[in-house]
Amino acid sequence: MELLGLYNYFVFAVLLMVGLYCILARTNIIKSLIGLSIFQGAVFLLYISMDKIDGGTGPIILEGAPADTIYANPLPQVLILTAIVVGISTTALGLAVAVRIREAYGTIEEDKIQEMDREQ
Amino acid sequence: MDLALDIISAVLLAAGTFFVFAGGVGVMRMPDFYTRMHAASLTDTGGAALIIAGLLLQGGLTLAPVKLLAIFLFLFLTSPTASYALVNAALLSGLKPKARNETGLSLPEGDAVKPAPKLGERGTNKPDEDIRKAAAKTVAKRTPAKKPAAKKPAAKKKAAKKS
Amino acid sequence: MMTIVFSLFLLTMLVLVAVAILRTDNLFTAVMLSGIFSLLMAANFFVLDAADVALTEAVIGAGISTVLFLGALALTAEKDRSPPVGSWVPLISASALGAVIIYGVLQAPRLGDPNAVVHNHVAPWYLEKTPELIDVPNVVTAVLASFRGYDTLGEVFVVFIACMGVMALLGRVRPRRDSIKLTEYEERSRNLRHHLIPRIVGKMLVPFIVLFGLYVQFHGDFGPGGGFQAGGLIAAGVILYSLLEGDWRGRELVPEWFSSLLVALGALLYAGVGVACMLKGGHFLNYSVLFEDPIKGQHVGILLVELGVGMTVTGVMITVFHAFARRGVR
Repeated sequence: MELLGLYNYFVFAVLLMVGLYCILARTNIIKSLIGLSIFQGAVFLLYISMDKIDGGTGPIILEGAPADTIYANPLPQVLILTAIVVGISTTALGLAVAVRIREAYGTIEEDKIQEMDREQ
Repeated sequence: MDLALDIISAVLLAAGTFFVFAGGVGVMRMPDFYTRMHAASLTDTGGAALIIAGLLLQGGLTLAPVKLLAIFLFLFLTSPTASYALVNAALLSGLKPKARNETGLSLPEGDAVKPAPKLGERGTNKPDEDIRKAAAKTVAKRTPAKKPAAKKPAAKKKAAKKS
Repeated sequence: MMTIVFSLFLLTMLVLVAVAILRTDNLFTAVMLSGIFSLLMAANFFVLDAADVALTEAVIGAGISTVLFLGALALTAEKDRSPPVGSWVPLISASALGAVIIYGVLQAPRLGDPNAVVHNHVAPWYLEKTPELIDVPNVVTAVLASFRGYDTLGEVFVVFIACMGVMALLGRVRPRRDSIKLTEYEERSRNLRHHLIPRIVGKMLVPFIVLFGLYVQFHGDFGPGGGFQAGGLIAAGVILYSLLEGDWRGRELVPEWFSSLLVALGALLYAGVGVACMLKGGHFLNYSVLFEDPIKGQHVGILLVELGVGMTVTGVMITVFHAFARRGVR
């Protein structure tokens, strides 16, 4: 039963592996970028899993709430809120670089690009 | 009263779940893209409507049912549009439906619809050459029957003018 | 009990979608599946009581990110990919890393444990002091904009620099008047004007999307919301209009100088509020000194700072989308 409570973390480990394998073993640049965003998603999952408290609610302190309501931990949410927007900024920049590579080399497969570089 | 509301909303939720399930099974089992889209759009409209109706009854008289109605309106506007756009894109890019009429023969070969105008061309409203020719043939077939009828009012007008 | 089953189901679906992204050949399928991945992640965040983060992930991960990937895919124009390179070494290294992480994770506290170490140090202090010092119901906004304002300032500048990078790589030069004529540009930019139904429904929805974005911006203090989500939503409305009507008309709606101005003004507003606090005698980004009443100073400071964040994120998303869209018009 304890393992069921750790299911979030197992999923985090599996997603991290899948994202890393996608980056390492696929030669297409855009596929690698999608794998990078899976990797980032796994890290977000880890942080947000840490903020849940049993019987808690979202960290919004309303006026008439009873004094002993349990609130979820607000700190990991703040960190991940920033991280999501930074993640998409780097993805956008990576996609712009991929577009320029395609215009310069004619392909976006990394092994063909390395062959072209070696021939020069 | 509460019990009756609970029972009705349970029935509605179960019916909505059945629609969503049927949509899912349909997407897996249907043979062709167009029939699969027909099954998938069932999930968005029928399933969502019944589930939201079931949840509405549970809400009481607070602000939550109004928000649910707004969500339902939004879903009802956007998901049929999305299904339409998807099927239209498939049709215009040349995907042909697998169809058979009653005698068991399939559709004649050829494009089902004219493809979308290419980049740089504008889609125009001019009818096709063959449609124009077919229309001219039909007009030519029909006009000899009309000519004697057209002469009579002209003769009547001349008689009216003379008198 | 039912929430446990539901969250287990969502997590398993996440793993299945990730494996499907890995194994598919067609890049278009992979991009669509990554949109579904982000949406499932947003549902997961909501089940874990993080409403702000769920909204941000849904808007930015499932909305804007999919559009940017599709834009890049249209430019690179490679739908399928070659078979994978000799993949034993990455498989073994990824599995070894995964095994190490699972071994480390076995000692973590279970999900939802109230006695976990992470709930003991700073978090109760924030939850206690927010009604006293800042008096804003949404604790996440208070921590983001006021207690941890430096981090958010850095993040706004990171988004700004990414926009600069994309503009430098993909160019912000409008087509020169001597190269192609403007009517040709309008004809060549792809649009969906010949599809009547998506066009009408989309144009009806754009004002409501922008209105909802403004609502989320200004109600970030009282409910889930804030600058990031609002920026993404307003940009999504403008991008929908540009997709339906073509790049040229999208540029007529939100001109280039306006979106660039938004990007710069947002960052300037944020840093300017900090400098104004310094001029009034406090530390950088200490909003309490803006007015005599420190709580009112905090409210005004948070409002201005979130406005700056929203403006920058809106401008950046619109500029990046148009940079990708313009590149495809040859």
